[in-house]
Order: sequence, then C-alpha cells, then structure tokens
Amino acid sequence: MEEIKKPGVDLITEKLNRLEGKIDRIYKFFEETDEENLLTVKDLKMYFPVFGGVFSTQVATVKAVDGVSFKVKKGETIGVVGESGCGKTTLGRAIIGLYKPTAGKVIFNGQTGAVDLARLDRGEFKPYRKDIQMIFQDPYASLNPRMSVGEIIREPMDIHNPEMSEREKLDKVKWLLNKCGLREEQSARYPHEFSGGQRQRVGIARALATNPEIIIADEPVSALDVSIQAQVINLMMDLQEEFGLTYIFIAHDLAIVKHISTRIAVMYLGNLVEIGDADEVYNNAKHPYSRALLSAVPQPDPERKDKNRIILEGDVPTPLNKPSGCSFRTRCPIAKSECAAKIPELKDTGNGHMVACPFWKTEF
Amino acid sequence: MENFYTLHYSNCLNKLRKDYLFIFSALTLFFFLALAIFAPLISGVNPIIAKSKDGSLKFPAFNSNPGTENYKWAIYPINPYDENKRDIKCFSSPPGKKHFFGTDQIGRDVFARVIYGTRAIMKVGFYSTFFSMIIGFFIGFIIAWDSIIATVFRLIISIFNTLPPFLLLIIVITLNGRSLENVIIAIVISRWGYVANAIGNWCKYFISMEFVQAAQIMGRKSWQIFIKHLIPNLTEIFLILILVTFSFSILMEVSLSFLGLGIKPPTPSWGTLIAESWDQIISGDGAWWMAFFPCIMLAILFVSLNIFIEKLNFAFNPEKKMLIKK
Repeated sequence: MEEIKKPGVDLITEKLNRLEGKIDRIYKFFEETDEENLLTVKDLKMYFPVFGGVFSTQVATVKAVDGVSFKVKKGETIGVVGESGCGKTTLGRAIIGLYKPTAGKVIFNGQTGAVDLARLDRGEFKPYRKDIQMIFQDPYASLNPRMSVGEIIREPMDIHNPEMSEREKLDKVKWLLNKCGLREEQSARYPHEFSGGQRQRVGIARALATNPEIIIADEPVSALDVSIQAQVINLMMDLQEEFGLTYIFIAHDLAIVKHISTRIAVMYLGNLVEIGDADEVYNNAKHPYSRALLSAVPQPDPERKDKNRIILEGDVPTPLNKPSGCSFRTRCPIAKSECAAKIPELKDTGNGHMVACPFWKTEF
Repeated sequence: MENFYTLHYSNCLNKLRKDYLFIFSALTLFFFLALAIFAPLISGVNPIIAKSKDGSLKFPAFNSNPGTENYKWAIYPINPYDENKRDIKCFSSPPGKKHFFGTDQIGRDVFARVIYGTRAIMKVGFYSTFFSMIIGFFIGFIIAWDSIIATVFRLIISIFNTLPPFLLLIIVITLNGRSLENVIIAIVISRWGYVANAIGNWCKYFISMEFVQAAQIMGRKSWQIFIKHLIPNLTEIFLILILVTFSFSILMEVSLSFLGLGIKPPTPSWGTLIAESWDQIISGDGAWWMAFFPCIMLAILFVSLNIFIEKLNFAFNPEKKMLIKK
C-alpha cells in the first residue's frame, strides 16, 4: 500500500518540535532562577533491568532509586542514611553520572550556570566532572595498585588542567598531601604501602585535586577502624571549612552522620522518607521508619534502659517487587488501608522538616 | 608528555637492571634464539665465509643452494656436519672429539641435529604463542563486556576448552598431514580459548574495581582508561599467559614429534631425536647421548623461560620489592 503524502504534516511536526524546544528552554530558565541551591535532585529514578532465561530477556526491573527529590545548598553536608540495599549508593552514583538515570533531573548550579546533569552524555558531562567528585567506600579498590600516590593525585589535574606545568602539578600534589595529613615524600610510594586510613586520605586528596564544589562521599569510613574513622571524618570537616565544600555523605552509621551533617535524609527502599536538619531528625524523628532506625542507635549509658526501642517485624521487601503505595507499609506499626493506595509525598511539617507519611502524628 | 604512565615502566626497568638472575635467563633465551637463527654458522657443510676464484666474497652457509665450488680460502663452521650428513665411518658412536654429542645409528651428527632442532622448537613456540595471544587478547576484550556476542563467544570457548588438547592436536594432524604449520594451527586452536577466558575474566574483574570508576568520574575516556589503568594491571597476567602458552606449545611439539606426529623427518626436532633413541635405549644398546642432549637443552630452555617470566612478573608488580642492599 502506498502512503499518501501530505505536505502539511512535516511542517506541523517541525513546528511542534520547535515549540517543544522553546518550552524546554523556558522551563530551564525557571530552573536557573533557583540560585541558592547548588544541586537540585528532582524525582530521580534509577531502574536496573534484570536479564534471565535462555535468550537473556528482561524478566524484572530493580527499582533501586524510585523518585527521590531533594535540594543541596552550598556549603552544607547532607547525610543520606538507610539500611543496606535501600539505594543510597545508587543515588550517589546516579547523581555523579556513573549510571545514566532512568528519569528525573539532577540540576547542578555551578559557576557556569545551571545544567541538568541527567540529560548530558559523556562528552557533554566532562566540563562538569571537575566540580563533582567522589570519595569511595573501599580504600583498597579505589586506588590503582600500579600507580604511585603522586600519579594518582595528579591524574585529575592532567585531565582538567592541561595548562598547568609539571612544576605546578608537583607543587599542588605536595600541597594536597600536606592538607590531607600525609608527608610530601610519600608521593613516590605505591598504595599497598599505606594503611586503610592513609589510603582514604589519598582518595580525599584525589577528589580535591580539581577544586570541586560538591563531593559525594560514598560510605567513606565504613571500611576503616573506629579510631581512624574519627580522624578521616575530622579531616573532611576541616577541609569543608577551609574550601567551602558541599558534601553528600552516604553512610549507615547514624552517629557519624549526625556528627558531620547539617541535614539528614533517610531512605527506605529507593524512596526518601524523611529529610530535615540534622538535630531535628536525630532527636525528633517523625516518620515511623526513622523513629525505629534512630531508636536502634546504641547509647553509651549502662544505666539507661531501652524502653523506647522500636523493633520492626519482617524483612525489607525486595526492590524487584515493591509493595504498592507506601513501601514501608508492610512493616509499619501504624499502617492503614489507605497506605496501599498511593505513594505518600514529602510534606513539610515545619522548619523544613519533610516527612513522607500523612499519619506521622499517630503515637505507637 | 604525561609521565605517570611511563614512570611505572621505568621503575620496572630499574628493577630488572639490578636483577642478575633475570639477565642470566634473558641471555640464555637469547642464546637459544641465536642458536636457531645462526645454526648454519655453528654446524654445517658449507663455509661461513669464502673467497671464490673470481675474487668475490661469498657466504654459502646462508645460501640454500650453494652448489659445489672450489674456493681460494674459506672459513668453515666449528662442526663440519649438517643435520642430515651421514658419517659412514661411525654409527652410534659415543660423544667424543669428532662428534661432540655422538652420532645416531645411521651416522648422523647429534650435535648438528640438536642445533637444527632448536629451529623447529622456536618456530612452533613463537608462532603459536603469538597467534594464541593475539586471538585470545581480542576475544578476551570482547567477552569482558556483557553482550550477546560475548555469550556466544563464551559458549564457543567452553566447547573448545572441553576438548582434550592432545586429542585435538592428533585429529588436526591426522586430517591435514604432518607439518610444522599444522602443529602451530593445532596448538592455536587448543589454546586461544584458554587465553581469551583468562584475559576476559581478569579484565572484567579490573573493570569492576573502584579505581576504574574513579577514572570515569575524573572524565577519562574509555580508551584512556584502557591504556592507563587496565593495561598496567594486565601486564603480569599477560606475561604469565605467554609463559604458559610458550611452554605448552614447546611441550606439545616435543610430544607430537616423539609420537611421530610432528614435523616430517628427516627435519630434526628434539622430540624426534628422543624417539629415535628410544628403541636403542630399551634394547639395551646404551645410546644414551641421543636422548640426553635434547632433554638437557629442553630442561635449560624451560628453566630459563620460567625464571625470565617470573622475574619480569616480579618487576612489574610494585608490591614485590627487591631484597638487595643498596
């Protein structure tokens, strides 16, 4: 059958496309006016397909991050907590562009203007790489064993500051090593000659090499000893004060998160359930999950009895098959029938303390 | 010029320069290579350098068809026998002044045959290692990333790896006939899957490491990550694979020649030499020299190859330090 050609159709499509572009630009303009937030994450979704069967067809989808929105102001530290498998790490990696987000926006408002990082491809992302850096969880895997520490720290400079001379790069490596509590002459050594804490300091120095604005710290201390943890955390706080850094601090240790963060975000099964000022969330949690989580923090007081300990029943549902509506309803002590109907939105309960539970006032 | 890639390798070279065992093994391997290339200079019937009657200099040893000519003067090789020249005055004579390594039962010089046998060994070793590594390397990189092609290749590799290599060799040689090329083809067929699997799995392991993700976050392109982060880490694995493949192919060549499936006689090979002496040894004639010298050469080659690769491996790994006082 021959297709009947209508000359008008192409014209209309073209005009529609142009209009779409215009709307996009207008939308972008409104986003750009949101000056005070350095990073705005809007409804970020990260789904992973699961392949199986004989022909490797897609059999399921893991909803690792399922619609997360939050804003990060310049100079603050936002601590992301949650149990393992709730999507904290995936969130960090989707923001930094290691994964291409399925949907949503990651608007970075740096010195060069606002840009949606989630929409950029690899080449377009490159100029923004130097503004967002990452500190990794495992200090043993995050440093190339075949490169000396000096080479590791100067690698970001080779990529982003090709105009710097060898001398300048060397001086900066030494300066960074000093800043991170290592000695200058250690730059010729290989990573295996360092302890875990020292390696993590090298990782921090590498992250600082391009003068970033945001550092995403993906459980930077969970692989370290408790005594070393304190050193590394204090180093990070000192550096933040000196360089005006912004941290997104992912961790599962609530005491550390409270120590370093100005705001805390609690995640459960790919969703943000609560976000607010650190003291407010830590002392006055409102979402039933956060209350249960925070009641599990050990108190260094032998006299105190754990009367308020909330013990949740059951296991975390698998992200392959999330419950409908509120994902926490299967374990929630105050769950109602309405909870299954729709996913609750984050609502402000005063002072910017957002809770994703309409029944947070209910006692239990 | 970015020096942080070259620095690792210059450190390695510094380490190697101080390592006497490495230098010794390298020299030994070089000696074997030289033996294979310059065999006619050491043992042969034609002169190395000669002045012919019309006054021009000639190098008949390198000429495949020198013909018979009377020279004004000529320098002959140290051992005036080539691999097939028969000395009809001494059959099965023990090592002595005239024949360094003795003669076999039809009067051929064992020294000449051992030296010319190096050529077959080296050819098989180099060609089969080269082709196995090239094929294995590329297919290894294909299977390091998950895709349908990778799945297909993995399936093919598992089929090839389940075939017993020796059986495969015998089948290929029975079908295609006895020749050096067929031995090389058979070894490559039985070996590429092994190399590809190892490269693929190690590559997958290194890609999953966080330092590769750190390089991605820095803004490195894929090929830069490949050259600067993967290759230095894969060097050792590559060296080990070269050692294993080289040893395997030499051993296969010797075994096939021993079974009478290798190169066609009268071209000498160490395996053929050992096989020819076998009858004499079991019948009690005591012609030990025919098997002894090829075996010694084989042992020296294997030991120096092992030391060579081991020391290279040692040098390329910064976690291993030299215990030498400065």
